[in-house]
Amino acid sequence: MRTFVIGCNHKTAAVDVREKLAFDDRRCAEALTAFHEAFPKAEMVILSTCNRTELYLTRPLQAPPRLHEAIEFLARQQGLDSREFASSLYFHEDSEAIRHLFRVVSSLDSMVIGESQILGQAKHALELAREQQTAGAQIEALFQHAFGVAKQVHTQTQISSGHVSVGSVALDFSRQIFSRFDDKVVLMIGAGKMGELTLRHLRDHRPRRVLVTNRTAARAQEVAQRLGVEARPYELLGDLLVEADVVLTCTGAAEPILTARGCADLPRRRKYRPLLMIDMAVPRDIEESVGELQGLFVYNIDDLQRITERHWEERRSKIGEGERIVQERVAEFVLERGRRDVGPVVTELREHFHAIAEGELQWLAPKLKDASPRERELIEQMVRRLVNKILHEPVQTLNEKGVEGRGQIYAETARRLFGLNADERE
Amino acid sequence: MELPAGQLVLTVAAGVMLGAASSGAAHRAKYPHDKSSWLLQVWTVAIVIINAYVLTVRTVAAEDVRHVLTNRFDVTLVFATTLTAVAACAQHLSRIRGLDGFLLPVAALFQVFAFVQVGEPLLRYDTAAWFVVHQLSLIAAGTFLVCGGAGGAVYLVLLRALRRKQPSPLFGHLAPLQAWERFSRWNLVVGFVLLSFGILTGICEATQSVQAEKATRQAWLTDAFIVGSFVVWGLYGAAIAAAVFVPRFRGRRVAQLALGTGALLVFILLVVEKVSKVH
Repeated sequence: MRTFVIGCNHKTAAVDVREKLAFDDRRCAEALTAFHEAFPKAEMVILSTCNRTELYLTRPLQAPPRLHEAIEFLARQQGLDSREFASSLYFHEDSEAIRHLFRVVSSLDSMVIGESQILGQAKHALELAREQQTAGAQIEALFQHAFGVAKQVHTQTQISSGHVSVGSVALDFSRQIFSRFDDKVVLMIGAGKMGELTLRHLRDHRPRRVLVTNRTAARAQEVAQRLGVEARPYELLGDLLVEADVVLTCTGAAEPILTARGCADLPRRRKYRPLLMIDMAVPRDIEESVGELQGLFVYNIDDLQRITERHWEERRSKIGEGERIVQERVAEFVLERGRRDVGPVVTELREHFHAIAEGELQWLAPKLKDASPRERELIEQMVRRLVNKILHEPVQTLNEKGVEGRGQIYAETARRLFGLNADERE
Repeated sequence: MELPAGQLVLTVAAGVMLGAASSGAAHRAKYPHDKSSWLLQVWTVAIVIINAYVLTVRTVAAEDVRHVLTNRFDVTLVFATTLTAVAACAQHLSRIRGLDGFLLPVAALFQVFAFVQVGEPLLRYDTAAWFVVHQLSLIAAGTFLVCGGAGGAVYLVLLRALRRKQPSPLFGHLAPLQAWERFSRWNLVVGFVLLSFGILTGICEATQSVQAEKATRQAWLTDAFIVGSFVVWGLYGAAIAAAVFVPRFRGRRVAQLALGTGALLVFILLVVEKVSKVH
């Protein structure tokens, strides 16, 4: 069997090319069905995410599709000319293809290294292939092994620990302060882009209420409408700060809008409930000393970015260990597969030669009427020993080549040389 | 009652295991994804079982349930076992995730202290009912108050990490700040009620005691352990009143009070009781 992968990702193709090659579930299912009809002996999984579109294929040695056929198939499915995207594609085969899959699923090849979404996406891709019957024993074994590798990489290296987006880090802080989030009120002051992104992230975790306020009421209304939250007048800021549990600031003000002096009474008015304040503005909206007030936790954009950068560094430092695990597991998989490749051929070879020997012994039997039972037994023994001795060297070579990862070629050659399973191959 | 060799070996082994569990819990705080977490859980349960076994054997041998409450070694071992059992539960409860790391060292301390108590004279009593209730409520109160103190310690450690604004291995592996505040406060409330009850029943037992002659009764009032208990009682009363009724005494201050008075309680149980000649 041959294994190969063709595809493109965020490193090799711009977003306009990736968009053209991407599959949604419906089109993916159609493509898999078409593939099954065109190449019934081959197996395929299509992995399509926002950062990559990849076709993982396995096929018998002499069966289609070849590389150019797979590229043409992809072009046909997307209604494109292959020349439009061929330069953005990469191609790996056999152990390199296996290594590529292991790296992808382990999130070592992702844009955000260590993200765990890709594992779910790969599982979904395999599920689609199963439904369309393009996932057979070979590709199933390959993907299951890849999932095991991903788990090992994540567990042993902790590559996914620590969030790498500002929004996630902000949420980490809120989770470490508050027991629950569904009874909390989130307030955004201003309408900056970064604040909005972070607010979206927090909103996804379903706080009780999300409020937006801005000096320009119309702007607050616009943001509130876009995000599906409530707008509040800026004049009520003092009361809003009492009501809120998490405050996001992202105004364009030149001076801090929340000062230690202005907030001095805030803890008392809040009955000393904790308040998480995240300042996304530059220049800052909240004075550093506000964080010294009882129950108030202030983090600015530099604090959050410093943490994300540190998490990035930690993740980058773990890539090497992840790559080592992948390399080991690729070797292990190739070895296992090699053994699986030659195992049946060795059995077939033995059965084939012993069947010939039995036939010859049956031919000889009537001609040995005068021979004693002891002599007949010795002749039978001699024939079987002869077969075993003849087969010893080829079987040993097959096993060795299997271990070296070249079992497929030698197994196929042995089959052809000795006419094993000829019917099945035809 | 003497400590036979078999029981000695078992309790020493449990003590060593508690020491190992304490360092295991500290290790887990640093490497939370370590696969040894389940081992720590099994280990902690094993310590509880060993101690419970020793206490049961000693109770059966003495043919009297009250024996456990009169022998200083046994009482201390019961306390260590209770703390270890709470730590074992904490390993499975996300609301107090991380408490075991702070509670197991205290339990280890009491396990070691139990050996210091071997050979000490039995605690005297005359009114069995008062005495049993007094001892049981003090053990329960001690457990709640030490847990509250440990909760306060976790709160302060976490608060420090949050104020430092740096990534910390504690984040995500300790329950949130609000949960610790609530835990400390409720442990204070329950612990205080039980402590008050324990002190009251102790007074009842002492005043009814035929052994408590006039001179001895006066000595009770100058006994360091009893005076210490009253001090703790007063502090906890103030802390609880503040924690419940004064908003300003929320958060860090509740944690500091819980930790401070919890530490004082441990000090009284370990040091003051040892030097007290009357109690």
